Amino acid sequence: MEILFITDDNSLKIPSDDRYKLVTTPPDQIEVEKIEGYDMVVVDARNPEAQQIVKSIRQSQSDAIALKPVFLFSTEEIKDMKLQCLSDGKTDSGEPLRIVSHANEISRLVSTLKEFKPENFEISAMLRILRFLYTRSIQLKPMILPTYRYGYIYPFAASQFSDDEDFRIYEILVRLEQEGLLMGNFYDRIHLCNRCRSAFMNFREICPSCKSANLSVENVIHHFSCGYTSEESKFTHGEQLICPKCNKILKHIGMDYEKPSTIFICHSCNETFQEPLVECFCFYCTNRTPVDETVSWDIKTYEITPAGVNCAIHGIMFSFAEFLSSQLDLVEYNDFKKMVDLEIERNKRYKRESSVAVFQVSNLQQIFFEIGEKKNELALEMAKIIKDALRKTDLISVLNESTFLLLFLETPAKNAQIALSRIKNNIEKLLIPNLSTSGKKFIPQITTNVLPVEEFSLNKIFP
Amino acid sequence: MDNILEFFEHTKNFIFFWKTAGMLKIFRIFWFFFVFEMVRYVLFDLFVICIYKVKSVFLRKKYQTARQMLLKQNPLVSVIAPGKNEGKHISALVNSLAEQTYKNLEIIIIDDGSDDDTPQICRALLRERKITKYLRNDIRGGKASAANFGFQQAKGSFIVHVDADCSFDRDAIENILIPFFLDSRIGVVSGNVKVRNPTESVCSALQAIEYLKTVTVGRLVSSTLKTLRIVSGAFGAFRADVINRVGGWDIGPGLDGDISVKVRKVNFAVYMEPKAVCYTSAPEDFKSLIKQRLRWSRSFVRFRLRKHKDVFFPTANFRFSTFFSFMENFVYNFLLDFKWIVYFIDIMIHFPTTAKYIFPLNYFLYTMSNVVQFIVIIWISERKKDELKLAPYLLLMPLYVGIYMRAVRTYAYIQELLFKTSYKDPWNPRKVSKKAEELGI
Repeated sequence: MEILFITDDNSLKIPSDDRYKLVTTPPDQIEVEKIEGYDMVVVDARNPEAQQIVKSIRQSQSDAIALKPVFLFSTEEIKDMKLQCLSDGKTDSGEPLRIVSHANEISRLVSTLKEFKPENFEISAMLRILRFLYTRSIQLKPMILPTYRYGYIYPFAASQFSDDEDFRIYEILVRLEQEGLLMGNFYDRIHLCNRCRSAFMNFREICPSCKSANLSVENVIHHFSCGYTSEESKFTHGEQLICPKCNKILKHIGMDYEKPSTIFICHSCNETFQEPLVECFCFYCTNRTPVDETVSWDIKTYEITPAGVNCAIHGIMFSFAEFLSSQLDLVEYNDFKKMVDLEIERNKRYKRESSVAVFQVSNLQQIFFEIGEKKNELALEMAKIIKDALRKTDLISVLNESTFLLLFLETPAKNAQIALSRIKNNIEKLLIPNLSTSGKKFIPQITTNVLPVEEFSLNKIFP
Repeated sequence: MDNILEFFEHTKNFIFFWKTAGMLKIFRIFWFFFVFEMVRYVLFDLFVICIYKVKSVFLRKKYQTARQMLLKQNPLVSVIAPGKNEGKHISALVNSLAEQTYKNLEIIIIDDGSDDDTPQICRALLRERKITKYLRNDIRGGKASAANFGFQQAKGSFIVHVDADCSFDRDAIENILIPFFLDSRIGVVSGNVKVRNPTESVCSALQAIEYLKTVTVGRLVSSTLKTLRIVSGAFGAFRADVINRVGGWDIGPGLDGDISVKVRKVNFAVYMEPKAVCYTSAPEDFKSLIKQRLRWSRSFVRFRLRKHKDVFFPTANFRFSTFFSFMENFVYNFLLDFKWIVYFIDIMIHFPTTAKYIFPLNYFLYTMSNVVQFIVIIWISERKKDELKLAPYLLLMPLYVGIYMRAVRTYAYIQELLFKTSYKDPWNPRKVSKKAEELGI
């Protein structure tokens, strides 16, 4: 076994023996492509670049490199949780034998993986996550990372995406769960900014009138003998409480006066109120939004399902979107949205009605996996069903691998619903017999919705 | 058949008796009615209403100018509605306020420790921006405390105090504000409070007539004479600076009458605007009505005769109109209330054998006086057809006013004079009543 030990500590002498050969290299000389030749990598965690090194290994295009057993060397506790999650374990002595068996098991499982060329990045990332979980026999666990914009991070999954695309991790995990390839268990619920999806938000009480957060709260005092009821500050004269109405000194709570409630005072506009609004201020994009308009998102731990294991081994992930684009004139989502906006304006002017239909097969990967080799044939049939239901003027776009958007021009929602039902029925008629022959008892999970074009929004595609 | 013949025989005897009795005897027996009741409530009211009508013609232009000034200045008006457990009424109140022709309103609901669904309803209305503020005291402090709390948080230059179970004509707020622009000495304006549920029971129908007599006509007469001493808590508008000057509401019951007197004492006029119409729910059974009226009558003794007794004496702030107003109130509502006992004894001693002829004629005279007053009501009413539907109940009014109300009032006066029962009324929280009793207010 050949082990690559990445460290710049020259004083560290780890002797090789006949069971393994240790090659030591300093971090600045590491070439990720050359890692493939080693059976295992040990990274000196004391090195400040350790996280970057491990991350670059996990981000490699090649499964052989990205899934390589990577261990950390440190004699102390490793505080970098992200680094720990990206690695396969830790060793605190120069003796690598303790981790060799673990590395061998990983390598054995990696060797069972079939060669597979994913059709696009999304498929590639999905497969990489499945393969990582399968070869390590672990769960994908969220980790709290205060510096991360969502608060929780899945380090390995996150390493597959660039920083500006990291929310896609969550969407991909949801898809893998919908496909039945991962099983999610609730871990926590987070609230995200509805503009930038950041969890780094300040929840604060604000004035209902001017929206300022410059508030203070005071007790309300009710003076029994004259009925005067107002803020405590109006009664306060030094140490004493004196009623502004009758000038009596309030001596005894419960006998002379009571404090029946509290009141907020806004120091920006002098408004008084008892129930301030609560808003979220996003530190990332400075968006201000009411609490009930934040995006609520469930954080889960994920474990791979038997279907996920099969998928990880065989790599049978099929991009229907990719396939569809070869059969139909698919429009990019941004162009689709522009057309929708244009259509809204046209409809306003000419008093017409157009509709957007949404079509989602949430367990599409599972279906293709079950159908196996006939998947190309089936996809072609599905593409044909969609093509037949559309007129030349209608547009189709892909939101993600399982969700499709259709713009029916000059078609009221009622008529669009008819076309959509036709697509749904025909696809079900096509898939159900094929799935029953595979011997598995599951049905395609198809969700549809039709909206008048004016009501189309990504947040509302399904009721 | 025998009964009918007997009735005709009695009627014949009755007419014969009074024909032969002569005018002097009739006056001797019914002096109480002719001297007090007819002069004060029929002739005098009719006379003053005629003056009001004539005056209205001459003031029409001035009234229009005042209205223009109101609309031009468009001041912020705070409508404050204090109450406890009024959840079921709040939506109707708010809907009625949303329909007002005068729009620059700030609506403040003050929840005095409700334990019904008031908080949920008010919070929903606040979210929908149908009310401006919802203030809640978790511990009940009484109506005065709630009204004062609302006033302290109000921003309007005029404050309209309403009861939560009221609703208003669309122009009610506009109409109640106009008098402030007619005369700068007006500090408070009373609305015209009517009964919303006259068809629900005989009890509420009788109250509907009573309100028309005492509020629509009675207060209009007092207002015209500048002796009005009460602005209804159900619908009254105040200048905010005047409320500040009198220190807001003092603890009740009867806080609406009390604040009106306080306003008079600082030399502001109290006015009634009949066109500012508000409807309120009257008690539908006589038991609930007794409770309400005992409270009102006790407060007469507590506030008019005890707290504000200074108006009867020539102090520095003496005002003849206030003195006259209190005197009229004292004589007609208090003294004559006991006088009817004397009158009854007088009849029983001096005319014991003719009582069977006296009481029917008495009833007839009071019914006739009610009919004349009702004609005046119809004359000035903006809803003549609706009011006319109440006409059959006029036959019961002598019983309602002359016996039922008089008995309740007398009982309440005696209770308050001897036992100060108002301090034990659960209408106020015990802690507040206890303090008021200690201080003798």
